[in-house]
Amino acid sequence: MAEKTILLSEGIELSGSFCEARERRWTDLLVRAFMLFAIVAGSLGGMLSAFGISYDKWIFFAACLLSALYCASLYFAVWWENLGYILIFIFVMNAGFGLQTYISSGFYGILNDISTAATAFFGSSAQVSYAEQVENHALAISVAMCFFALIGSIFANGLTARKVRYLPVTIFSSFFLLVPIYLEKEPPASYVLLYAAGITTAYILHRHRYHAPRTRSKSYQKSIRRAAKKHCFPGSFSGRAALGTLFIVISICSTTTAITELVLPRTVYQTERTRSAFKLRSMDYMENLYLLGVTGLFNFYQTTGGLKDGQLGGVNSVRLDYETDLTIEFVPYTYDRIYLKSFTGGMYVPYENRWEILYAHEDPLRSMPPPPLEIWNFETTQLLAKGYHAGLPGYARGIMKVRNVAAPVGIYVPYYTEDTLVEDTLMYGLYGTSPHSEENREQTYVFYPLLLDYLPTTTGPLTDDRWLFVPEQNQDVIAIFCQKAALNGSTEEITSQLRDYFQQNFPYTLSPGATPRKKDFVNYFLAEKQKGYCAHFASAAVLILRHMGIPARYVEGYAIDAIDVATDATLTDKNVTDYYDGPSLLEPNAVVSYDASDGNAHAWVEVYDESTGWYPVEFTPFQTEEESQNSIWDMFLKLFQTDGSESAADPQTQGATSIASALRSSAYGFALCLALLLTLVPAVFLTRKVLWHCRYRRADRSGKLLMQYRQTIRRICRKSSWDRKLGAAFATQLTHARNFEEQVLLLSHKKLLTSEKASPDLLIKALNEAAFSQTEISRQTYDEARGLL
Amino acid sequence: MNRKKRVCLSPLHLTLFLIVYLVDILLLLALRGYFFLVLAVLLTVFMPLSFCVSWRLAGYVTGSIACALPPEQRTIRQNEQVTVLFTITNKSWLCALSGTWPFLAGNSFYQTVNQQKLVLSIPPHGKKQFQMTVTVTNLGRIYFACQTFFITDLLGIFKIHTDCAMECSFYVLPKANTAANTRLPETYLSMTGLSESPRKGSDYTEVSDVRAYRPGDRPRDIHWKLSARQNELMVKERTSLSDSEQILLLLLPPEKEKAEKLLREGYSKIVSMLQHRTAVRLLVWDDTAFTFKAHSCTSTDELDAAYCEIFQAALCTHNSGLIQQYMKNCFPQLEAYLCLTQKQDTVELEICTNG
Repeated sequence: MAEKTILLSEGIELSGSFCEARERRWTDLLVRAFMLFAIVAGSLGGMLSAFGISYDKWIFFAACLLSALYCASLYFAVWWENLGYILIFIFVMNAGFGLQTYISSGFYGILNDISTAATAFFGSSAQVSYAEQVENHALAISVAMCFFALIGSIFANGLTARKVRYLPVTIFSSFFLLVPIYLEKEPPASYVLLYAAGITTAYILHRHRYHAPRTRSKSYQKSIRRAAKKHCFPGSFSGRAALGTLFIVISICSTTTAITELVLPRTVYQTERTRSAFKLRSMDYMENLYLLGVTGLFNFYQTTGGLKDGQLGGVNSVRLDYETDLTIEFVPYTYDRIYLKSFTGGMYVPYENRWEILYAHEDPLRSMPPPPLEIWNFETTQLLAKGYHAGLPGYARGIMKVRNVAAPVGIYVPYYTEDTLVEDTLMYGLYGTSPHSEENREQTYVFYPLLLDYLPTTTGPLTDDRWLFVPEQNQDVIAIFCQKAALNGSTEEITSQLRDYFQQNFPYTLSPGATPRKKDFVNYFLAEKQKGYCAHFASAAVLILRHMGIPARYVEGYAIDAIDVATDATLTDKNVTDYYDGPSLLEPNAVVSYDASDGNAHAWVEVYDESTGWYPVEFTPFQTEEESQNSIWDMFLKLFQTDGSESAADPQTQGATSIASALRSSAYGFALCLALLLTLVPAVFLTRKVLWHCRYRRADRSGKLLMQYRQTIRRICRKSSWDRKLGAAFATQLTHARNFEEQVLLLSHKKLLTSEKASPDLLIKALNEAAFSQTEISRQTYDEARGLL
Repeated sequence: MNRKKRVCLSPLHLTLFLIVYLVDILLLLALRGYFFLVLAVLLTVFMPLSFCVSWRLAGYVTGSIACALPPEQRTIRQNEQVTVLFTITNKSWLCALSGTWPFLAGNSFYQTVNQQKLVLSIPPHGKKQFQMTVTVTNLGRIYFACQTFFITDLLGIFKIHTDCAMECSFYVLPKANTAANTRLPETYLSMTGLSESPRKGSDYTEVSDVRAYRPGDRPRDIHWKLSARQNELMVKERTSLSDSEQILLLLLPPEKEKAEKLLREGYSKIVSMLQHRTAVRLLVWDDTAFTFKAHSCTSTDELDAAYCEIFQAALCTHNSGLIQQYMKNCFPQLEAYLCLTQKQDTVELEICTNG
């Protein structure tokens, strides 16, 4: 097949081969083999060694080396490449099936060891463990690692063979080192050295276009012919040069690693190391990731502030959008939290991890006998209403208008509402049939706030003992917990003890992680995870209280604090008397409109008391400041801060510490700004270049010539500002020239055209044609004119 | 070794490097891992060291850059192939994966030039050669020249430029064509006595002597007047122009294609003349010296040498609108000369009278 000729210049055609006759392919392949070996052994071996996992290093290294050599040698010849891949595929399949037990056992062994390290690091007792089938832990891991080394080599070779795609290789391989580093387990220096040398070699080979390893291959020939058409002749690869480069890379890497180890030994660094704010903040997420895998990063269902009608355990991280869910119009009357009930869970279903409405399956009209009245606060509400109508002191009546803006379909009702239909809807779960649950409908509720500490009459004991039911599967864990928390005494005492215990021992987090499969939500929370958000505390508290003989139920809805109302609510000009009548703890009063978001979504506990009926009790610990500032920007700002250990130091040195901290912050800030500047300036430059090239590629020959000419003029203008030979006035002359002729003659006069002997007339003619003719200039004219620029 | 070295930065790779550096620093600050500290130190150290290696290497190799042709290929015929060999010799143990030669390939006679780039790796303590086989279709002097050479450092961020004066050139000569169309014209044959004109006095031979008649002499050479005076047949001894050097003026047109044709066909004609044992004195106008350059040719080799000399200067220096006027001024005694010129699409050898 006749090859198209490549024109070097007019009348000079390139014929035949123009690459090097000699080729040291083996040396080149050796370098590639080292690169593969270094990346695979450095990353995988580094991870295992960092975790202190026992395995046979020599077998692993031998496997890495052999697989790297094999993979690199695949590119020695085309026939061998095809055959070699088939052979390796057969080998991998056979090894996979033959050593299946060892490989899976080794893999589980590694996961177990990592899980152990992770639980120790996160201080959690929630450890995931897998059953290992082979007793000899080290042997299984060694076999598995040999297999993974082979797979890793094939994978890395696939990425680096044709083109050295160093970036994906780096990203994939660095993952193995990031896993232990996050857990403050450092890979040994030798592995760091190997890995750094491997990645640097990959980058260098990529940068210098050491792509196709065979000069005789069609793809390589094609690529260099393409390059030659663009007036560039890439020479063939020099194995010796690559080997020399490798030597330089290894020398620099090993020297650097050794010097760093000498100046700042790893042990000293590790003892002095503090945890950054970023790390402290991300630990919850990472804990989920380490213990639950990738699924730990996602929620299993949509929630509003982590809540969804009693469903539990599927939320890895509560993500708040702070959009308005409900708009509430009312008169603030108390400093206490105002609750809007939406869901009442009476029956906990263990392992299915959900709360069920107690009477959900019962028809409120036909049920025989009818559900007891105590299911809602009918009696208490009646009592409060009577007190209000009798004009007794301490009794009041309020109106609350609730508009559902974007909250889930349902009802949101304040306590002690006299609307029994609403209570029925709550108790029987009849959201679909209730007019209250219609979307975007404003509902007005009349309620009688409980402002007294006690009520004069009793509502009587509970008749339904299901409010005291604790599933059998939870009883053991709850019994142990109650014993540990030493709960005893009256209802008030127990609730207080439990609240304090949670506050002291169970931290609040918005990223608790999902409950692992086949685990019970409450058991996992109380016995293993020991951290969570309101749903965790409320669910656990209900079962604990029931275990202690106190009737309790789980409630979801919205909670509005007085401070939220004070800061975020807007005053309306409506008449207060239309909304509230009676004594109030807050004076003077006004009708306010408050937008409740998913940040107000909450789960709490209702405890039954014979004097007051069902009343809300909080068991969720106070939210810390760190948890409340959860935005990405806050995380970024706190990225460079250290943990609180330093600030808790000696108070006498607090002043000096704060100065040092301020200095460090400003130094970091300066460094960050400098780094950003250093990145942004080239980025802007680069963007301009890229845009120029995009336009250049799209342009026809005339356009290309004009663009190149303009670029040359700009370059010369810039040059004239510092080049004495040209002088600053030259730029002015150039820019003020009336036409191409004047400009080109100026350039020619200063000998700024590439070919001094060539006539500038050619360029003038070409430029005029390109600029003013409607037809595209010819290839020859373009080439000639371009040669002058 | 005292060659100038300049450093250029590659913004793209510098940006990439800074991004990598920034990511590493951020990871170090965020995770406080010793690994990232080592990497940060490595990145900090690697860039200057990589630069130093390339800087030093540039000093070593810059004097050893060469471009050469095989000795037998200093002159080639049109459409023949020639192999150009680029060589770089590195005596140090340092190395680089990319050494770039931006070289010019052009024809100095026609003043056509194009810039090319050759990228070669430089092995430690060794030689790297790159050969390029080219076919030249145009006549002239073909040159490959390089004035600068740059080494890209290992990270690809710095480019160290060094000056180098490398040039190799060869001449492309026409092939002699003895086909019918290059047959010499009648004027030339009669002028040189190679053919006899039927008309008396229409030849361009000169009478150099008169001697007694010898059998075999042509009757038309008998000097009748003298023979009558001396009662002995005397004959005029003629000296043919073919025995002496012919003056041949090359009237090169300024257009590339026409000049190419004239040189090509003219070459064949001159070779024919040389085959007829006629020495030719080629005259070519030299605008830079403002005189004619003369090249005596008695053989094809000398003709080749003459062509080579013609190709040394650019075509534009060989033509002028007043060449025949200059001819008269430079050679006032010369009555006539041969002139190789292009008439429309044909190249003609004609006799021009000087005046």
